[in-house]
Amino acid sequence: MITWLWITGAIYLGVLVFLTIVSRRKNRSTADYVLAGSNIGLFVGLLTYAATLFSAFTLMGMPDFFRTHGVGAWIFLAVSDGAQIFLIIWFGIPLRRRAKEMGFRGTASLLSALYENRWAGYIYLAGIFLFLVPYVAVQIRGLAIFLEAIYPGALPAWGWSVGIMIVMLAYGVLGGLRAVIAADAFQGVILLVATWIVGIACVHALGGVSSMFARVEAVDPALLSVPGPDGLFSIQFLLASFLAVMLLPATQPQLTTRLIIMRSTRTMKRMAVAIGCFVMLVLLPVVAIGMYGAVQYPEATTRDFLASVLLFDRPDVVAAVVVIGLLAAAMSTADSQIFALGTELTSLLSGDERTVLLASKAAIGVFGLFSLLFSLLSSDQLVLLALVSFAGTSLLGPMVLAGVFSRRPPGTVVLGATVLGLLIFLGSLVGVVPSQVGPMRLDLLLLLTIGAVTLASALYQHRHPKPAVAAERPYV
Amino acid sequence: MKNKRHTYWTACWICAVVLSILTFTPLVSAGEAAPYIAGIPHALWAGILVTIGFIVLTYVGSRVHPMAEEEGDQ
Repeated sequence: MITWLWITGAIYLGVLVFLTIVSRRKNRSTADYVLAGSNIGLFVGLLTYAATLFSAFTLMGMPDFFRTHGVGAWIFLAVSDGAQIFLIIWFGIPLRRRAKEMGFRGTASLLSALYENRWAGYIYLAGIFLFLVPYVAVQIRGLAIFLEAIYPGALPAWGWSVGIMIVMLAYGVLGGLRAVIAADAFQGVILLVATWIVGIACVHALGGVSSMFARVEAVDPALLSVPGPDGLFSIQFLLASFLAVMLLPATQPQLTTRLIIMRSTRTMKRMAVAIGCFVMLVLLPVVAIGMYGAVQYPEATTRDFLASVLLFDRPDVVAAVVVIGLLAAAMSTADSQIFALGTELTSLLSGDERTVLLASKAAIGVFGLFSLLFSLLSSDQLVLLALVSFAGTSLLGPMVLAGVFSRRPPGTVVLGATVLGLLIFLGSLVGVVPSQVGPMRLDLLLLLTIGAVTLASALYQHRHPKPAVAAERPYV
Repeated sequence: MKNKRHTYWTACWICAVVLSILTFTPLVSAGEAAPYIAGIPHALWAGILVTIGFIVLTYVGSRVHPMAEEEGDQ
């Protein structure tokens, strides 16, 4: 299998190098470097968005979710992704208009302009830094540990982590967003191919779809209903996940940027529909992989199950493609997150084009090193931050939506509520604040409360307009 | 024409909200595996239908959204 891994790995790296060189030649300005010329077509836009959305969790976490918690995992992710694509239309169209009116260098600077308050940008930046860096770090660490276990003696875990980060930083820093997007598109195809190869093999091994579910029922009937054998998929859990995943285009800068850099609004709309189809295409085979695990490896540890279902039960060449698929899934999400963190930071800086470009490259490198360092020194607290990454960034959602949809700059009370919400949420992670308030999950309660405060503030502003508003923004 | 678009868009997002609410009722998040469709348990086929519903609503929404295309759009 090692031989096949070297061969497929060399092809994979070769394509990434080629894409980086081509992208680098096309970059003529800072806008090209940071925003890829804002001229992304439907096909590439679809693949880069999808590859950024689907991390290594798709191939490693989701099959295990289906195996241990049952078919409710579909509602947990696929239905939430369905709502997300509707949000792309609802939020993306006014977002593009705002970006056109105010100029777009990053979501943080756009929020500062929309709120006419630079703290809006700082709060957003702090929020994404707090929850995205651990997510990147833990994702790289998880994959590195897995690769070390299945290829003993090839490389230590830290070696895999360093290698992954060097490759990501190389094409990110050298080729800019254009290279990241081209790599994502390539990696999105690999992810899709890898999931289908394994998914079809799993359905075939269990004798078809009907037989597959019949055999799962014989193992544990609770896997075929909600909330699953351990009760994980409670209505509150599903609702909190639904809101967090739905809000991703507004709360995660790498996705927000991809809505703005599409060639036209029409292309973005088509991309939204295409992403919905991609979600179905990627997650349907993942159901089969999980169900196969429930039948064949019900008692195995997560690592043993994944190693068997993805690698050891497959021919060597397929296993090598799957490993590349895992690398592609992890890197296509992590590269976009690191690039977005770097460009969001520099979007708040001023200076001439050359200085900003250099600062962007330096910031991307620094965030990459931060993530690598965290992945090497991963602690329980860091893992915790990564696990709640989506829930954490979702608390920024009301602030972003209010900025984009309001007629005039939203009140500072929205910023205050967001900061307070983030602090309380962090308090719950370190055990200072209870994570359950009465019967309700704290993350859900905080999101709903910040949303209610934001809505109340918007209504108040609507009914009590300031007398000296010089130029009211058009309503969107 | 613009009023019609507003009406269609409003209908569209109301449908999206209704679909979201339905997801968290026993109609979708079912506590029983039956009834099966083509051997697929209730929660899964209902979830797949909801996902398809969102894709259809997104397509319709993208056609009827009242905000005009930006300048330069083809």
